[in-house]
Amino acid sequence: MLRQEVNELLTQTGPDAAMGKMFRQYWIPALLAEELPEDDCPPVRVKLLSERLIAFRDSDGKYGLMDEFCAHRGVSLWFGRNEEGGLRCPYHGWKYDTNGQCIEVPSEPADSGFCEKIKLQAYPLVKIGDILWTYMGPKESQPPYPEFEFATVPSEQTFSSKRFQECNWLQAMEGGIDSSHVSFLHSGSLNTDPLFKGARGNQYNIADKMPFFEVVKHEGGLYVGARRNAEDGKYYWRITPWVMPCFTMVPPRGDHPIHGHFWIPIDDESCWAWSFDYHPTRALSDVEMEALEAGKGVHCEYVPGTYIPKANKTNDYLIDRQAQKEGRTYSGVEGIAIQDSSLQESMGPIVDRTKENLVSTDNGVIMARQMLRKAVTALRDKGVTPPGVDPAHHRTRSVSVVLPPEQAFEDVCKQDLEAAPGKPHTSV
Amino acid sequence: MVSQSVKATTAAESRFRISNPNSKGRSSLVLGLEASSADLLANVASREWSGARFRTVIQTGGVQENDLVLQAPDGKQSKLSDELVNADVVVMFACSGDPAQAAAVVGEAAFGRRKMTAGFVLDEHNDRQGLEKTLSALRPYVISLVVGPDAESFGETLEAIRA
Repeated sequence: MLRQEVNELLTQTGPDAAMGKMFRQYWIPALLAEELPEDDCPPVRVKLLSERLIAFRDSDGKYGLMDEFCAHRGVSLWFGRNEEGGLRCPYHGWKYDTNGQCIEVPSEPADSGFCEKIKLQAYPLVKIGDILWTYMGPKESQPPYPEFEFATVPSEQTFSSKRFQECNWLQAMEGGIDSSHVSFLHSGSLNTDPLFKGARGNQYNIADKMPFFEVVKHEGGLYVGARRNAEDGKYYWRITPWVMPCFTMVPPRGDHPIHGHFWIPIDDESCWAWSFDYHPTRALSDVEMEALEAGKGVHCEYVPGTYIPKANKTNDYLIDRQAQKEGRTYSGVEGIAIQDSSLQESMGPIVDRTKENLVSTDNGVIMARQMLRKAVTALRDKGVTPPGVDPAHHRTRSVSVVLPPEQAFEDVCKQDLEAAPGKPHTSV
Repeated sequence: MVSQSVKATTAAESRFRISNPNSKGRSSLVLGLEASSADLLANVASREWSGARFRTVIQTGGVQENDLVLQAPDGKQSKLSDELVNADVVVMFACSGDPAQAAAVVGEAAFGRRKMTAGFVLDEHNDRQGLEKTLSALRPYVISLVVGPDAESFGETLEAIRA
């Protein structure tokens, strides 16, 4: 249960909202690099944190992200001509560079200086890994670039995707730290999905459906440990790091790639669910790439030409009641990503948390909300930089491991939970 | 034809959700495992709760084996075995560095009665060594174990589970 005023505090992310201002402290994923594939390619509409923006790549390969609308008459620059070092409004020819600076107003004398007085709000847009990242906060508090491992390994070792999700970012993100749903909702996928099957750890998951949980804080967020019984009295631990405000990594399975997510608000009633898979020490195989591109694992198939999932609310997520009945899928919905999004969207655009009945196994969610609330109010009231801004907080990994019962994962796995180039990951 | 999901997931449709209470009051037994926690627990207990009972272990010996003497903030004493009868969930509380030996008795008694257990360890001073000692004592006996930074966090955690 969460009080209504706290629910509103955490779910509203527009420019004037406290949580909106906190999101604007971080570098966040804005687009896939593939969306701006070449110089002078068509611009792309982007809505982030309730701001309508236009992204483009100029003739010199520079990326720009700025107010979608021309300062002259408010035309959408999505119709613009991306040419000769800028984006030109097709209505009267006003032209902007990647910083949002107007560089040409054809109707005015060239030396009048008029265009220097016209500037659209613009944000930095940089390519790190296969993602274009932006920072939408005050210039004076712009942090160093993000250092999440999936985005810094060589390109052949990583794959990212995004999908449109029609609900508030928080209820989507909470699914990422709610480890207890995996044994139910996703149980059908462990033995069939090419990106999961075959790992020894799967057997522990299947054999013990009542895990114990341990939630501990780290500098950038939380570690949520789920432990199940293994052989000889040992425990199988799956450790999920959550880095504020919206990054999680799924504990690995065998030598499969490691996956994880970001949930980035588009507005308060929709978000981008970003998903990635990477391997810290080797290139992804052809078989893995084929599966990833086909939407297996935590990814999904799309409506062609969009980032909207093929199975979505307009077709009732292609629910298959026979598959549900036969246990091939637990909910009748196919694929991990859509199993999650179908249920999270079913809660409504912003779930009413005053009606929840949380139990102790929801402690990861409970602690995350507490950390978010404290960070939002500390930033709002005292200007304190929130956890997760420092790139050192990004250098984390998920872990799966079998430990003797007397050992605490946060001590024994301290090194395993830290990402470092070329270091093998700890996985069962 | 518009799918059922499209219509059902709009903000407009959310207004038609039934507003009657969807749960009955839960009986939470909040147990301080060390007598030194009594003041902190009494402070938390002074807030408004949905039926939570706050008790502190004050005696681990002198009663029947596998039982404990507990004390409420008003000084009234009771036995663990009696308090467990009507408890839906047992939340054990300890501070980092506490030996928390009573966790074993509470945990065994709760498991034996099929009661849910949870643990909250308050770590105000980032005392890694002390924390590990306390976590080790609690770990086998709680389904869910949380480390929190302050008493406020403990109160919020209890509020979140409608204690």
